[in-house]
Amino acid sequence: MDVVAQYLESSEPSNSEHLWRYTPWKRVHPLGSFSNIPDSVISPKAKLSYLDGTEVKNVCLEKSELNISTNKNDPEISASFIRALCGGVCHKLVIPKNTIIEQPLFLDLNVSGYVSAFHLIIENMSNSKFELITSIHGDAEWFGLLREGKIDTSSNFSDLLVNQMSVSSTLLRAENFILQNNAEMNSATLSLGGSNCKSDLRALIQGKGVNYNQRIAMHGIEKRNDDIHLRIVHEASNSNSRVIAHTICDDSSKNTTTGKLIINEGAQNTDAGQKFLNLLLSDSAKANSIPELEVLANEVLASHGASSAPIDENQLFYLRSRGLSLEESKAIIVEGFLMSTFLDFPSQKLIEWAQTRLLVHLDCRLVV
Amino acid sequence: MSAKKASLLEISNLHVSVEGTPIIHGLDLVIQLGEIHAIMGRNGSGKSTLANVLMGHPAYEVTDGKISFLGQDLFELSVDERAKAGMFLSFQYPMTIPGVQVGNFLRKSVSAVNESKLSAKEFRILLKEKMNDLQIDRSFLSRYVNDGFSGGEKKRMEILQLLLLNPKLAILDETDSGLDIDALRLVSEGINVAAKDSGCLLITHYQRLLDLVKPDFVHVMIDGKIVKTGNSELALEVEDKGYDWLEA
Repeated sequence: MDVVAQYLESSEPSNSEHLWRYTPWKRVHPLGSFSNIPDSVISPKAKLSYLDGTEVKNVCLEKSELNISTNKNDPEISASFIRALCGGVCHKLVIPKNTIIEQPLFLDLNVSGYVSAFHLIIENMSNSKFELITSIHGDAEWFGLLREGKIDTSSNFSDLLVNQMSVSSTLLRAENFILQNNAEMNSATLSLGGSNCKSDLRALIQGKGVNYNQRIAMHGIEKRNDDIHLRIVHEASNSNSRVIAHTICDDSSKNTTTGKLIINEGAQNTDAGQKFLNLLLSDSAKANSIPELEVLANEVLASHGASSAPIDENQLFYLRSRGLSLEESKAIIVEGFLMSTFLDFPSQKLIEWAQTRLLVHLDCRLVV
Repeated sequence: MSAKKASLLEISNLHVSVEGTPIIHGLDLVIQLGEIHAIMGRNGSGKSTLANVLMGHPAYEVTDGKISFLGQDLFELSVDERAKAGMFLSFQYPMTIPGVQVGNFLRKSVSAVNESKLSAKEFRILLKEKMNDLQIDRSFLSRYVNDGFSGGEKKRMEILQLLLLNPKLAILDETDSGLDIDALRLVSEGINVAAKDSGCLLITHYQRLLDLVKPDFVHVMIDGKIVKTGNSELALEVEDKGYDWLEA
């Protein structure tokens, strides 16, 4: 079956589904109609390098034909739509066995045109370790990014994705990572760009002794809609997962964070938690945070929590008493709130890069 | 004949309410440059309210009275304008600002108050010197502002800011609380340095701070009013006799 047929064989998701309740598929689709597939799709300019721009040795971004092998945790409609847009072509990033890459890899995705899409497959082979920064920027009206991968036995993947798309863009992001025995994945997202963003991020913990850590910082301004869904399935015992999402909601922006944590029968001694915090800067801003737990194993630690609050007047007073203007004080609180999402994140180089991008973003906002 | 000292702060007939409840009822106080004033009083007597009103906390409503700071109407200045004009409040309970590193915060604050007159190099030198004076470790700079700080660390952080910002009027709201004797000595040395060419308003419950920072005037506040003013002997008397004898 080809990728287009596979997409068309599925049906439009219902708004009653947890995943599509707040941002329905119609709003995410570039043409607003389920069965229409845009015929002119531009692949982004993709460049893999080290952070200083030098060429990467030993690994490369390889374009290849897609061999569809979805699994039960596949992000369904989002994934099959992006596969269809990419026409069965994907890019592979393979980190060979026993390979440790000391410097972070930098994947620059410059997106343009009316509809753009990119399918990345990451294979982190056993006992390998690497860090990846993905920067999405450009003025595409619509961009779809599908990232799939396997984090193999005893391998380690640290990941930062920064969305800096132009203010009118729509982003559909789908992810599915499978983690094997003793694998570790630390993933961070800084979501700043675009006016309409929908993400469906999934992890399937198949191995024992896995550590999966997902941090998401989102900045909602103007009429920006950022809707992120996380689905983490624990299938094996003695694994940990953590999700921390911090959202700033300003102006008339809207944020939705839904999380589904499933701990299956065999996943004894799982330690899993989800925490969603929202800082509301405007009366017109909205934040929905809905963590969900489905626990089928007996011996587990599972927690979830969510809270929304305005900026603390006493924090503002403290900062202003140190000479900072109201706008500067708000900016420093916003920066701190978003950066505290990444507290204790194992890769400092990734977080320093994220902080630089965040400061530029906030400075631009202050100037405006 | 000595020249008349410049007037730093003049408060006359100050009335303040919080959420409709009157807290300060007609307070008068004048502080001249170079003077150290101490305010003592029971919990709830209005001492911290006065400190917050002076710095401009929005929760406090001034219902009557006037305050001038260096000849300017204080109520015309926003909180940050007061800081830039040379007013500093050391908080009784300093706020935690998660995700904001101390070093960055101090740099921004000094830059704002001095309107960027200090170069990055000059700031680093100044910061190192003041941190050494207060025996603060360099690792402090990469921590988040007051996040996970002990009581003593928070107070030292406040005094570090006092020394860096070099204000004309330092208002210290129970800066001595939660400090062990060594930390109190360090903090007091910092206050004495800062108070040399400026004015200082100390709010405290305890004589032990006033042994180390000698006030020119001691005021006792009861029910939102200054009921007695004296010299440092008054603080000793309060320590000995409590406040009952001062009530009308």
